[in-house]
Amino acid sequence: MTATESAKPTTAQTNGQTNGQSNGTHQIGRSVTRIDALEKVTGRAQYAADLFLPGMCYGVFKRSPHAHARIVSIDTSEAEKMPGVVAVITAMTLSKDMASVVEEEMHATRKVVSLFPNIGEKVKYEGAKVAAVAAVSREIAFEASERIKVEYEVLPPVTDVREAIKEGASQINEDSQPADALPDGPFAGHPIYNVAGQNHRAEGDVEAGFKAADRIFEDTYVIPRAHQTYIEPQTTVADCAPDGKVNVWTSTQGHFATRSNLANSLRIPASRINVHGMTIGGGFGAKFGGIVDTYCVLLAMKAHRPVKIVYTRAEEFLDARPAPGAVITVKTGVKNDGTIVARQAWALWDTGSGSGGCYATSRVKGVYKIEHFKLDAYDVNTNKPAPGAYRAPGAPQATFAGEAQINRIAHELRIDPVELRLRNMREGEQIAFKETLSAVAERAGWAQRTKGAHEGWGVAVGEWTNGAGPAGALVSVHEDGKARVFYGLMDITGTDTAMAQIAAEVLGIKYEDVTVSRGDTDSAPFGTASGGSVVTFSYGNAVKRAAEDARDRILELAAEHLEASVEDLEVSDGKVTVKGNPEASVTLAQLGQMSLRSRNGPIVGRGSFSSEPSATTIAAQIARVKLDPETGQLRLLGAYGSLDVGKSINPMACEGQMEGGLVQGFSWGMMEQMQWREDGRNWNPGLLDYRVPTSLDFPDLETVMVEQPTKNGPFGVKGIGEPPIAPGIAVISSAIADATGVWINEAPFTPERVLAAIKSKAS
Amino acid sequence: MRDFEYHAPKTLDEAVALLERYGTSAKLLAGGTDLVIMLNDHMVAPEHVIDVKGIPELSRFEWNPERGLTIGAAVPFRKLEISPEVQQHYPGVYEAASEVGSWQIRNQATPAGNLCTASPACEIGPIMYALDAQLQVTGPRGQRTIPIQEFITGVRRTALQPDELVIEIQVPPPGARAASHYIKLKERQKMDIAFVGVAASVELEPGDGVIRDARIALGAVAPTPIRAPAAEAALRGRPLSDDILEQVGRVAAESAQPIMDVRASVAYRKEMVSVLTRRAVRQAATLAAQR
Amino acid sequence: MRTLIELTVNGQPYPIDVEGRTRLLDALREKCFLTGAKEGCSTGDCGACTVLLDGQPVTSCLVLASSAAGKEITTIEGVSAGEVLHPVQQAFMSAGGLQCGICTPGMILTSIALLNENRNPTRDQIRFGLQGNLCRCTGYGKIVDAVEVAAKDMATRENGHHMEVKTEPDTNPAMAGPAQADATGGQAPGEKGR
Repeated sequence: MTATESAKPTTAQTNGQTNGQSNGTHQIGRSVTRIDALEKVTGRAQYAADLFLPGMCYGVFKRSPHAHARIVSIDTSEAEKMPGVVAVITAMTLSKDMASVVEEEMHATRKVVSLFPNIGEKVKYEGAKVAAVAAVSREIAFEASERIKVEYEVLPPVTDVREAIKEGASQINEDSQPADALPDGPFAGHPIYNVAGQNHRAEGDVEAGFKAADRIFEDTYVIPRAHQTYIEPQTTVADCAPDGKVNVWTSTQGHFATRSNLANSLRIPASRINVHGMTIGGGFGAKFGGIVDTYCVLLAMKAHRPVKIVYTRAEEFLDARPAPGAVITVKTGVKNDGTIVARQAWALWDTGSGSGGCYATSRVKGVYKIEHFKLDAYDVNTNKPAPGAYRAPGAPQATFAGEAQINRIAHELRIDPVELRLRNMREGEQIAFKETLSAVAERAGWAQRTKGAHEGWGVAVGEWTNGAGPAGALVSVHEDGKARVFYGLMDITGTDTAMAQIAAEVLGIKYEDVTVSRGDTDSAPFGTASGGSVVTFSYGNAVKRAAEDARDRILELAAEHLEASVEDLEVSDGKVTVKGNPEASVTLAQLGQMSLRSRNGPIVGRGSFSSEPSATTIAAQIARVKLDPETGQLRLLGAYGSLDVGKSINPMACEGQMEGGLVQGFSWGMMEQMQWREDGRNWNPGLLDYRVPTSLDFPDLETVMVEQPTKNGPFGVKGIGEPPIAPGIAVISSAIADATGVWINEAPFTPERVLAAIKSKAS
Repeated sequence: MRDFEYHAPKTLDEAVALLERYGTSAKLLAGGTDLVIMLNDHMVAPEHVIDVKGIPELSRFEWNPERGLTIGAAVPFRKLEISPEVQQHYPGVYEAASEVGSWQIRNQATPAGNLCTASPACEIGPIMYALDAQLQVTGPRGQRTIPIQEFITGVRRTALQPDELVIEIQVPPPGARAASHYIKLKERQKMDIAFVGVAASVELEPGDGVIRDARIALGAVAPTPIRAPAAEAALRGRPLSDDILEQVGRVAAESAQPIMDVRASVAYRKEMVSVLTRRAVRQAATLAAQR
Repeated sequence: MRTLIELTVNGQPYPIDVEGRTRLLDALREKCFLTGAKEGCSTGDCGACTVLLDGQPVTSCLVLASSAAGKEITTIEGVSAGEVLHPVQQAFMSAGGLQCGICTPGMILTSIALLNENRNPTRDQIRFGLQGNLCRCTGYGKIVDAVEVAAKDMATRENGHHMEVKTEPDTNPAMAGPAQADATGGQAPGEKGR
């Protein structure tokens, strides 16, 4: 068994630098230092690329230079002859029943795709994998990949969904049937080609709703594909033992998800695979396995040696799984008093060679009471890589369409956009939409806002409800009175820290006295992957239950020792005391020692959780921008965010999620876009031309937390990792409109687009 | 990256001898921030790499009122960025230097190396054009001086022969009432590549605001940095005014021959040349008037 | 071509054999087994591989190992003195200046170089100093907080302990603009401000 243990940072506490001091026995609601902070500030945290195994080889991919082409021939003979090459794999070398990979996404449909295209099959985007090579060095592997000769019959590419749906457009997935023509909307009357998925929904009667409306607004919004841009590229190390046991060390958001993907695609039992989840250098939805690990295992199996594959940054842009783009048309009918009566949406999601986007279109409806709502949405194939999840998948795109238009309606009706939202927002038990919006408005000074020349303010809200998934945890209390949490949680947002706080709270000990161990898939109880904001909610329940189980055992031992009944005991400050008699107490350390000699043995609490519904939450955000009227450059002067977190376990970590998510959302509006040339090749496969914000692009952020507990969350917790990204594009677009009087409906709002808007207003 | 033999000559003679021996199979390395990327991307595959950072003459970095500024080929941008003399006498050089990459990059990358890479978007090109810099180069046939405008000959092409290396960049001293400025149009605050870059050097007549001489150079709007002679002519002998600036900007934009790429369209680039030229000239003139 | 070179990393000599093409980042990670410097982009755009070369931050993915021989190299592993953390490390922990941690080693090294040049930076100067270190998790606010906390902590330690006579911190000209320029370069990497 191997387990990654997070050492407890002790130094920060001794000098009083920890933000949150222990508040009696309360360990939740404390801004404690992250449990993994020490190993991360000392460079000791082990990421997948930091692993070097004896005899390890390096894997490199042979990729298609064409966006759309049919494979005529593949010749690997020159590569195989090269000294140092230990394995070459192509579609031909894999048995038919092994040549598939399952890319399982948290929020997308389950996708089964070929590992490699065979002769006569197609590559559907630039950078698609055609072969893989392992060699004793990266350089030899690269050299060998260059010697693989692939003949292509080049086909015309299609990169714009609006072209791809037309009759006569290149068919990307040849078995796809055109969808029936729609009766209304921007692409009415024609069959829809290159459809990879569809979603339709109708509530009420939109036609009647539009008839009842005083005003009708219709706008089309265009959102580019964005890359999650985790700083650690996709990385896997795999080894296959002589007995067939496969060990995988990988950068993943869910090592159990990775295990099941591998088992499915390699057609081997899950118990033959042990996945070690390494410290993850950012995932944001993109790291659930499939694009590197399967190939790495196949190379290791063939080479009989460990193999490491590390994506380059260029490969990240060519062949990872970025967020889908979208073209969304929204039609909304309102009363003159601002009441929204009907809303309809038509959406084309740019899902590249895959699918998974159109399901998110319902977010166009937003958080409003709308009687009549209808949507028709399609996943459309283009010659780009398949999409993946990116923090609240689909929400930033759909929220841009829904919320930017809400702001335009507010502007046209001369109603304050915050007020318009408050009038229409849904209400309910466990929901705090209005409080959350009001909180950010107050923090930003919305009601008293003023603006200088070329300045503008924007506001929007984005909704998200955390998912839930199976999770198991063990909490043990030891002879020194300290506790350990053991489970299979992949920590992507600081959740190990929150789990330690929860265990400490239940056990009446300090957070600093809890350690956390992550087991590999052989050792840990099953746990859902870290995505969908499920973790603090789901594992939190499991850990809470395990800690309660351990506490029951502690009380049982203490009752025996103190000769008191369990009901008369309380646990706090590391000891069990008889209520009203502080003299009668026993420490957890003593109990831990006693347990070893007790009838029922050591203190081990067990907790499991499967799934219960959470309650919805919103992130509400405000931006203040200043534009250069001659160049169109945008400067962010202020950024404010609020979020209903249910209950904050660690306020500093909650702020971290609010701030990080806000910046990702805003920057999708400000600068981020993957671009493709007309020939279908990626135009900006690097961090110079795919811009993510630097430290200079954002001002200090101001955030405020709202706590409206949900009854199924541990202590009322709601999942909060994802919602803060949702409103961003809409916030920025609205701030620009406030500054210029022009609504720019295509993101990101580059200087060139902003200038064009300014000039269109002037002329 | 293909392997190569690494050489670190300690003298100019040694370096020249290596170049003479290896010629086109060798690449020179100063800061390495361009070369290592090109090596990594297999854009170049030399058999020899000659690291010139250890040659003392190439680390010369001097300001002298008669001779101006000397920037040795191994001097990194960071030195220019923090030099009081550069900031005082060549504000445009300071602006251009501080716009290059990041702090990390500026610690490594060199102005001479950037000019040798000859990327159309490089920051240091336009300001060196506007300041009429020249490069001192050496090789087996001895030393020669190449004016900056003759040095860069095309996209990633220079007048440097395969067996030559740059010793230093020489920037003439500014006139008594002269100053320069550089503006880079970008989307991010830092770590961005120039969508358009404009450098202006303006000299005023003694005692008044009449422009005696002006040089304007544009970056990222042609295969090489280019001067905008018509715009310069429009400024000479006239006092600065909004009307003049308007005209100068328009004329400068006409000199630009940008392409459309992933960063910007042709029309936007042309328009930005106009805006940035106005701003750069105004700022240079303002600074000059303060002298 | 393989040659034997000696790198001086965190004050220790590392005799290693390298090829001409071996980058400093590879030499550190694969020859010295110091894996604190991370590879995020290989083009100098992300800063995850930042190390200090003679006290100044560089992206080690763009430095040839052979070029770094004879220089003082500081990696994240050399920042703390045994079990005693550097104030910058302390501050990143206490102020929440890290999440996934992949940018953290580079971020801390750049911050140390920044504070060695300017002991009392403004938030804008901190942001300027960190321009070459991308972080995708935090949105930078808490990282800027951390550097501020570290600056205060370092000042307190220096004043409180009267350790040595120091001239007042230089304002880093690059962080302050032309008006406050001076020609002060970086301090020696060994100086950790303690």
